[in-house]
Amino acid sequence: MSFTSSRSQSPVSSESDPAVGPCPFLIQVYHQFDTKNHILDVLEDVVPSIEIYGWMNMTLYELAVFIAETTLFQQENTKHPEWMLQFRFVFHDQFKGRPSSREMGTVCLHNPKLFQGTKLLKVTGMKCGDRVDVCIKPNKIRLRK
Amino acid sequence: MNEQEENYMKEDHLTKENRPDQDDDSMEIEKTEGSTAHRDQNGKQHSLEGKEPVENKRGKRMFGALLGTLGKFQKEAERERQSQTRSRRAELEEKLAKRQQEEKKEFELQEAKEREQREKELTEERKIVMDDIDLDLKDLKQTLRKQESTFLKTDTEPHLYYRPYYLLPSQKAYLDQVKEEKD
Repeated sequence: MSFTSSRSQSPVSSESDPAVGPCPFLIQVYHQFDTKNHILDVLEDVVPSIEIYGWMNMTLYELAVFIAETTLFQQENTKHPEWMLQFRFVFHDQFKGRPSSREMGTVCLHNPKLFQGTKLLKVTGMKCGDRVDVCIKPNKIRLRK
Repeated sequence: MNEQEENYMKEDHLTKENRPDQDDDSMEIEKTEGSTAHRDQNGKQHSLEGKEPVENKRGKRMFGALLGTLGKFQKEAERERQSQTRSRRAELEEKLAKRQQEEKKEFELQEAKEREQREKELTEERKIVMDDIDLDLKDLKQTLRKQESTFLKTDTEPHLYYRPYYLLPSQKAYLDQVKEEKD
């Protein structure tokens, strides 16, 4: 009996059909202002979270825009682009046998080219099913001279 | 002892007062040598004042010189107060103080202007950036909608997307329908 790999399109498949495009999947995002959430709080779903559709060809800036739309732009106090988002994904490490996290990068809402704004999700090492922890900090706009 | 020695001894015992042979002429001679008439009355006092007045005079002279210099300084100080140079200096200092105050005010005004301009630029930049973010959001939502037309959705809440390699005709028709609706 020979097992052939599935050719069905899903976010798990690493190679997406270019004619079809990348398959969107649900990302659970846990956000916090000025601090990071604890890994166990994230895995046990104790901290408030939001669900966002993302795809592997997505940049961190695009993910940040989606997160800002549902969290920051809902209130007038926080409805401005002077924010910095620090991403990391939390997963259960099978080799170490314990939960662990890995840094994905930092993004400024007011400038997509700053820091790791153009970094793709598939380059960060994130897989479908990993939970994303976001630390939101204020970051002032730097005026061009 | 001889008779000569005895005579000498006797003569030695005789003092000037006791010597009968001597007269007051020697005293008179001593008086007349270098002496004046007015000194005769207070001979002893004159002899004493002759030594002191020189020092007193020197002290008086020095004291007078000190007083003179002190007086000079006082006069000069009074002159300065009344002089024009002092008034000119005071005027210059006033002018400088005024100029410094004016410069300070100008500097503060300029800083306030620069601050306002910077805030204006910041608000404009924020507007531009928010508009860009809105545009990016619209583009992202559009791509999501396109993906909804190419992928099948589960009935769960929230929906999960998938697409089998070989589509059933019903699935194909459903996707075509969704595409038409969105177009």
